[in-house]
Amino acid sequence: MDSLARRKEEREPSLYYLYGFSLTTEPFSLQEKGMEGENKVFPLSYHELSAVVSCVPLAVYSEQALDENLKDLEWLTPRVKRHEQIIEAALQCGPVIPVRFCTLYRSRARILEVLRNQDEPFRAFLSFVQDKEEWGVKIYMAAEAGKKLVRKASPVLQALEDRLAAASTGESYFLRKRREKILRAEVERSIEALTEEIYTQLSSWSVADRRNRVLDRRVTGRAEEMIFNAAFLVDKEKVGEFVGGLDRLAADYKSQGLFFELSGPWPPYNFCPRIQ
Amino acid sequence: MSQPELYYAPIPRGSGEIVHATRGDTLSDVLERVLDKGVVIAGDIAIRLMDIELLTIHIRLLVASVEKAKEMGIDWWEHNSFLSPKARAREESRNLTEKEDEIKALKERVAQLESSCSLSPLTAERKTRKGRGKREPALPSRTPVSAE
Repeated sequence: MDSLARRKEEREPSLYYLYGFSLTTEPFSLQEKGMEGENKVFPLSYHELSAVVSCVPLAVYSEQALDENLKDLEWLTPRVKRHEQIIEAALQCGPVIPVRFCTLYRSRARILEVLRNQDEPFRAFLSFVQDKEEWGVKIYMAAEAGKKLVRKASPVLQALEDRLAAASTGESYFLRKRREKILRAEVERSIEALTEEIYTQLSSWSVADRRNRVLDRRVTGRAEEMIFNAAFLVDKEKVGEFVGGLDRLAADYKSQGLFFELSGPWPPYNFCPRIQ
Repeated sequence: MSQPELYYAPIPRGSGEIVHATRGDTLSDVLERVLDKGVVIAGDIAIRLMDIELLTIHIRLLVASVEKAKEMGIDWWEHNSFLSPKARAREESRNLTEKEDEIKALKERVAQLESSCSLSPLTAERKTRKGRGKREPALPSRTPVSAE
């Protein structure tokens, strides 16, 4: 750090915001500006591993300030997007290990310490993902699709249906309750079997896979229910095969009321090495 | 390195059965990854992130409302408590006033009922018991229990 930068830092106390790790050791400055849109993004290097960072004002990123800021959607939303944009920009210089939002350090020395500790596993991971991309697959199911699927195949439910037709008013109430319960369980079982089948198939076209929790309808904003949410690490050369295969699956399951959604390519968010 | 957009291309095309969303398209995709995934390293600043699901719901509601409001020329979000602490304080004080009014109205109503009602607490209780007893025969399974 030159004396001018040091003087500036003393005037305005700042923190280092860490976006990710890369293999680039050449000093580079991304065209993207950092989180607060002022300071440049630059690499801090140790051997062949670099931390992609920018300086951010302590006044905005101190523990007390973040306590408030992280609850403020108007503050948070653009910065989450910015974080992702900067990682994408860094990807132009080679593979990147994305770091979780708001990872902050007080000094360069602390970041160099992280680099020293993780040097080997991080470099190994970066060369592993160099020729790979993360793709996200979500599957949605039309509202009545699950029930239709189950009713066709269940003798237990059919028997219950027959009893229900002949039941008295009092009895039919309890029978209906029971039918609801059995139906729900059977819908769940058939969805589980179906998605497991699809997951296995998609995994065979990828290097690594990860199933994530499905998101609430209020999150997705869709009428259909999400029944599958997963991420796949795919060889760049085999992305065509992956997408083609997914497309065939989507065509096969369309008649059963399933909709497939693909997103990517992403940096390997879902496949980052775990730090002990 | 100059054009981040380059990374989007080329997007493999299928026969059109799948919906392909690029990363910028869906905020929930970005939130899911940036806030919940990626490598987790202890930094020097301790942070508390909101639950992603809850957060996305709030953002979705916000975005939907802002778009709708823009169409209608309304600027309600300036008063939305999720956006500004000032609005939150205003809402809290309004809620308090509303609650106070409600309590006042309820108190008046109770006083009114008390004065117009001639039942003493004792007769009121007896009446309730009688009412409960009347329902019991309708539920045969409960009869042995009440007999004990």
